[in-house]
Amino acid sequence: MKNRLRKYLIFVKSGFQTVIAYRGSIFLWFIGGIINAAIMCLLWWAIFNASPENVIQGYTFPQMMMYMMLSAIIGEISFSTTMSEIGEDVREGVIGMRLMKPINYRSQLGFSTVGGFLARLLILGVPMIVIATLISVFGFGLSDLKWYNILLFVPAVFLAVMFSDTLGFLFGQLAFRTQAMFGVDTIMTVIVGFLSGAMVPIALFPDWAQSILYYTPFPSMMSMPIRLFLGQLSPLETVISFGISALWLTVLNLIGALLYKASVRHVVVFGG
Amino acid sequence: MLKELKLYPKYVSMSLRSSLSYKADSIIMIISFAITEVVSLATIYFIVGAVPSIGEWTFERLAFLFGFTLIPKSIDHIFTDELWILAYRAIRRGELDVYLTRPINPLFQFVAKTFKWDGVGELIVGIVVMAIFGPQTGIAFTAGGVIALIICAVLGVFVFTGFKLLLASLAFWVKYVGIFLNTIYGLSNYAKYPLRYMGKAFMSIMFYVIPFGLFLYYPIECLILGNNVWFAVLFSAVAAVIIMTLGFIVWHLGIKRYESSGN
Repeated sequence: MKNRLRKYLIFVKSGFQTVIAYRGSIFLWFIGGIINAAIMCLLWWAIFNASPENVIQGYTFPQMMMYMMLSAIIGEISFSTTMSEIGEDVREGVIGMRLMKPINYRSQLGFSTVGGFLARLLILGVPMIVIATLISVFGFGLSDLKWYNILLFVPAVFLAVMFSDTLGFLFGQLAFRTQAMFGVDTIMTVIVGFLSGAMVPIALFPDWAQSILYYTPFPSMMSMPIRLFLGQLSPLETVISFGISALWLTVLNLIGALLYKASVRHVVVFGG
Repeated sequence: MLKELKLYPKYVSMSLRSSLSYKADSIIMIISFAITEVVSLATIYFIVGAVPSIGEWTFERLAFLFGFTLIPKSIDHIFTDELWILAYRAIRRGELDVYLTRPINPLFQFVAKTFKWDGVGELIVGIVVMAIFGPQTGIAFTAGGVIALIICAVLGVFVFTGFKLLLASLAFWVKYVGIFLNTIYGLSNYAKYPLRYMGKAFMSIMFYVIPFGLFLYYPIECLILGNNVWFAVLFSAVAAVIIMTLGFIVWHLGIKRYESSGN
């Protein structure tokens, strides 16, 4: 058991080092995300100006601002290369080599996502979150932040990362059947982004949509960590949310494993 | 120039035939672009749904504006998608060598190589959305107004292409141009929001620095407020000429100093 774990820790390390090696371009993607969030804040500023109320669906302007910032930051931290890696391995025929090795392909991808997450969190996530929080609190009067919510935010984002890794593994298997992985990736990213509340808080969705979404895995990928950070979840809701996330993560991974068995039978390798 | 025009249909049919050999893939790509835009419209609906309107901008008017922004964007997408490859990797990987050995303009060869008919998905969404929400905007459409919009859309294609060419050509000198281009190009997505209410600084940037606001937002605003829409045409024309010229200059400077990295 210990030996097996050590074997996979190497992939955590390599995921970490890959992010460090590409820190320049990852930093630029981060900046791009922040610019987008800043413009969304301007849009919300316009909307709060046009609204007779100070609170829109439970959000004050500083909260909405922090929401947009955190959404951009989580979007960059919870990035998983799992899907693109499967795509590349299939296209270049390396998948054959991967399947021959005495290492579980799924675990290898998962552990390297963990490594990437740690690196992104440490070198960019934490500084950006600190800056965004300071700006919102001292510049715009954001209140109701609690230290324990901010601490719990880290495991909540970790679950979000594992979701994006798991979905990447599920949809990445389409690489065995189509070349249009850019399209598959776009469809997945757009739909998940929308339903998880990355662009609009779920509180602004119609009531029926909210009550359905509550039971799906999507909010765990964005809405839940942010609302936890902002102090909008009661302790009981927090526990339930973590429970729902863990349950879905297990279910999705089981489905992924079953599909994978079927996909592998499909593999035809031309060299590698 | 004439030679290039004669060759272009051949390039298009080549590109179409190669994409038709992967039919399912092309359909996935078309669907992916259409879904992206539909979700984007739903986002506007939910955000703006929080208030009755932002100034004169109701949801119907914003939806019409949104449809309009898709038209130049998708046409540019159909014809010059290859410029993204220039920004991301063509130079680093020495992929330009082959074009320099043939007696045809290298920029033409490079851009003509890909005809992305996936962009048709976006174009259709744009036209449908405009047709649905146009009558609900309260705009009195005149022949002049419609012609002005069409001219703005055409000029807009040139601004999009010029921007891509200008920034992608920087790849002759700098690394990471692709990400930079992605961010700047992404700003065009915000021209579908009521710019005039989003702060003076941002509006000035979108009008004078990165003029996506000029040919996407401004003409629609003119129509809604009843202002002279031909000013929007004039400004868009100026922007298109300046940016296309800059794009060509930077490309020519770059291709002159291009040294292959081998391939």
